[in-house]
Amino acid sequence: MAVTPEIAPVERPVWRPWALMTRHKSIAAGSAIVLLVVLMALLAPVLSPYDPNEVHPLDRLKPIGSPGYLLGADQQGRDMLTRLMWGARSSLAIAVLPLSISAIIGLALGAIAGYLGRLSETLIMRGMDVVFGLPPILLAIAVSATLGPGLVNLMLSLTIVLIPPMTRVTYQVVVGLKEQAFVEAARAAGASSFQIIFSQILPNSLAPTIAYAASLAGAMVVFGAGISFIGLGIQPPDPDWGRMINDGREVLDLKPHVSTLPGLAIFVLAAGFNFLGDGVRDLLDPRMRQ
Amino acid sequence: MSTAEAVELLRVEGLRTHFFTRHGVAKAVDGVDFSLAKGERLGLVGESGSGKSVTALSIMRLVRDPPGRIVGGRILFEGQDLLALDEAAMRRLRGSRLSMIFQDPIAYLDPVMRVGDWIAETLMLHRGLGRKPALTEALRILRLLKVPSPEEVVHAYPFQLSGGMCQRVLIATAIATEPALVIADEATSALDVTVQASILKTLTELTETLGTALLLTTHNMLVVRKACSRVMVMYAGRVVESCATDNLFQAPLHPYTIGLLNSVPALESIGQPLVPMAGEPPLPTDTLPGCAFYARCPLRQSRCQVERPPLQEVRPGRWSACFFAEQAGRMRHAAG
Amino acid sequence: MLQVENLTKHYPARGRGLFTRDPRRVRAVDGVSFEVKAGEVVAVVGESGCGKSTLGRLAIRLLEPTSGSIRLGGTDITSLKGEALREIRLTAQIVFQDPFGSLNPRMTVGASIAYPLRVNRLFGRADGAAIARRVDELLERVGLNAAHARRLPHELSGGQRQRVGIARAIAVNPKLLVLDEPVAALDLSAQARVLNLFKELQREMGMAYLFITHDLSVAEYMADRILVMYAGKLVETGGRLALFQAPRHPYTQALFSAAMLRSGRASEETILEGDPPSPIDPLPGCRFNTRCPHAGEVCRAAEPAMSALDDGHGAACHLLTGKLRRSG
Repeated sequence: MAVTPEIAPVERPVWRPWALMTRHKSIAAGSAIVLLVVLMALLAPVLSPYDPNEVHPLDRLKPIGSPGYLLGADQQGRDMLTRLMWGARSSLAIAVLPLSISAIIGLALGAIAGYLGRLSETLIMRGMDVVFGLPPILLAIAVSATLGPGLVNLMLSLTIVLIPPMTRVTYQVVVGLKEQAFVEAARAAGASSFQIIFSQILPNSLAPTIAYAASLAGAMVVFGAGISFIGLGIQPPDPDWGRMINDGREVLDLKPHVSTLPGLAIFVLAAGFNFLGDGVRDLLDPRMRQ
Repeated sequence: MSTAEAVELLRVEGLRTHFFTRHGVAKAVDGVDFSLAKGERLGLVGESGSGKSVTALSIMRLVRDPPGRIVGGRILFEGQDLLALDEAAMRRLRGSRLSMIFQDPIAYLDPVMRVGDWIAETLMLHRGLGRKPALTEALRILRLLKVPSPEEVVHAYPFQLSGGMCQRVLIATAIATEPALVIADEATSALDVTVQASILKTLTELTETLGTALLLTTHNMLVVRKACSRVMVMYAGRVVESCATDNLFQAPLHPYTIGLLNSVPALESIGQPLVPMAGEPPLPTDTLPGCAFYARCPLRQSRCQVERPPLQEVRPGRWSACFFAEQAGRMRHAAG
Repeated sequence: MLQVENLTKHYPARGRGLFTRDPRRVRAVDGVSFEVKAGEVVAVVGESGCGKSTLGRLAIRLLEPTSGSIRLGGTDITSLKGEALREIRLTAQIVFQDPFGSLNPRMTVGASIAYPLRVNRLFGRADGAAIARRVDELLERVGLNAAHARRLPHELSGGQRQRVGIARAIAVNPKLLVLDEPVAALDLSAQARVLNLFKELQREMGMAYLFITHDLSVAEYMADRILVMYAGKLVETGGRLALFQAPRHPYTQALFSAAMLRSGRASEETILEGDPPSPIDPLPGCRFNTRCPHAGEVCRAAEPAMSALDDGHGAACHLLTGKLRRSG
């Protein structure tokens, strides 16, 4: 007897970025904002009218719209527009790099703890609990106290702070995946634990971990700016939005633009990342498809 | 077995329930007519996507809107058109004259409520009983359902009970108000065959004592066989065959019914090969001018592709939506 | 092919906590012995929670038994580990119940089928073309075609997915296939087609099947021999016809009575009251005594042993040893 063929026509989903953008408005809005800030940061050497640390003592605290100073100048007479453009660099680095690095480490640790279980689970997850118990701001202070302040050390402390939540998210996902029939099927096929982690577990836990990381980017912008504001991050005279808010603090009542403009920049970039993060989460959530 | 002289309880005319999705209009139920007498037990059989559950939900007016909507037809229950009732009147009817049992009992019970309170709540709501008498009544109903040690069951939480026991509790809730019609939507599908047998027995006995009518949807031929006196087979949103249950198993008159019966291994026809139907049912979004079973039918003629066969009484009490019903009746091998 | 001796699997009643320890055990499988000969189809029938799926997984060592022994093709596999354990995957494979969950949603059908070939290095590392040819061959073998290799699981129907699962399982040319409720999640017509496919594959490849199902009529359709399980124990074993013509255990009798399709009538069948017992620390005696229409004093006191009837037919009931008389 011949086998009845089971061939049904199936539509393949087509990759259409534009349709994606229109359907997911938050992705469109988020990526537009982030892209703008990225361009600003990249093109700062070309576009900015001055050197970021160039001091013009005669033009101190020039208001917005003054000739030569589109967005005014700060109390040392440095061009606000220039400093905002250069300052985007550190904000972006703080938002993206610690998240990426901690996501990679978290994926590895979470996959091992979740899939292998037993001793690795106890060691990794209880270790994470200990780190998770530290207030991030204290950790940042501790790192800059021992290693000294600066962008690299700030990013290092943020990475340390982010590893536990990343590991936990991956771990939860992996524990769920481990119960799935297709993972058991891989085991039945004769795959080793190592092969299963790489071929079954990681590809399926990538999306939720990325979605989680994306949702944190906005908060990282704010957090990084906060650390620089209290003086533990970027050191003067290098431009940084958090640092700039601090610079404008003393003249807040008279010349509010010095603090407000970087504050606004932080707000816009954080909102952009949040839109993007929400969009990515929706997109990667299988329940949101179809 | 005949209920011809019986009083009509429910009459469904030209019911059409559509779902408006991104992929088009899914015509889940597309012109269903039937009537149900007082105390009758009618089975609605079909595979997933045939429209049997949507028919049941439509009668309860529980189709989720959006995306679903009843776009046409009438549902006459005890003489009044349910589709013309406002939501408040419908709500009063549900759980009193008309009640429903679902497939997954645990999902429908409140996890933090003792099951005695759960049953009593319905009684307090619809029969205006006080808390004490309602609890006593709940206990009486559980005894009626032959629940072992009902005194313990009323104090239990759903998670402490087995699936079969939870389903008995839901049945108790459904019959607590002595409704005229109980709709059971795949109510025994999640249960083991021996538990299923015992629940079906209780259900049939109960409907007989109380004079309640039963509309039972299922994909399981065995369930219809055991619990229903009459059966309707649904395919692609329409009824393709309707007759007394015995007739269906002895001499089906629609090629789809025959295909269905030939797909089920039966203990009595041991050693006989299964003859599965070819192909897949049409998509609910397809618009076909002819018979929905055309592509899979062994008896098809060119006429079937362009003209839709109506559900006709081909023999007394035997309805079939096939132009070649008599031929179909001869096609079935003598397995039954 | 497969010999299982006194196999037992106990779980802790609750998950092990840091501070809590529940001494009670779930006896999922409790002292089960049976044999599957080469090329034979043996069905395990029982209701949910009776331990039949656990038994299937133990048989091919996807789970670790608590005690007992398992021999596969003559070698003792009871306590194999690591590389040696992975080697038995070339002899024994499994098809799962859930055609949705058992395929990796991010892997194409082709990659899923090729997976056992790759992890077992059955082809040279670089020989992608040979693997692709084998995948096409397997797809055709199970009634799909080469074009399906590039599809993702969610693009296929339940029946098609189950065929992919079958192709993956037979990819390594196993001698024994454990089928864990392989048609329970399918629609009736897909179910019949997949059952026929199993028959055909078995005829052509000469594999032995351990066919796990809750559906007695499916077991009767597929199997040469049937094992009936209840609450972790075998209650009756026998050839398909022997069991059908003369079921001896009251539970088997009730199962048959409940599963008769054409002649079945609720009023005529033996109805079992109540539910199967909890597998957590079961009471002494016969596990079926709470629902058995014939149960007597002896059934609550002593566990019945499997008594041999004729021709490989056996049942574990006190009725058969004369210690109990049939009531009614």
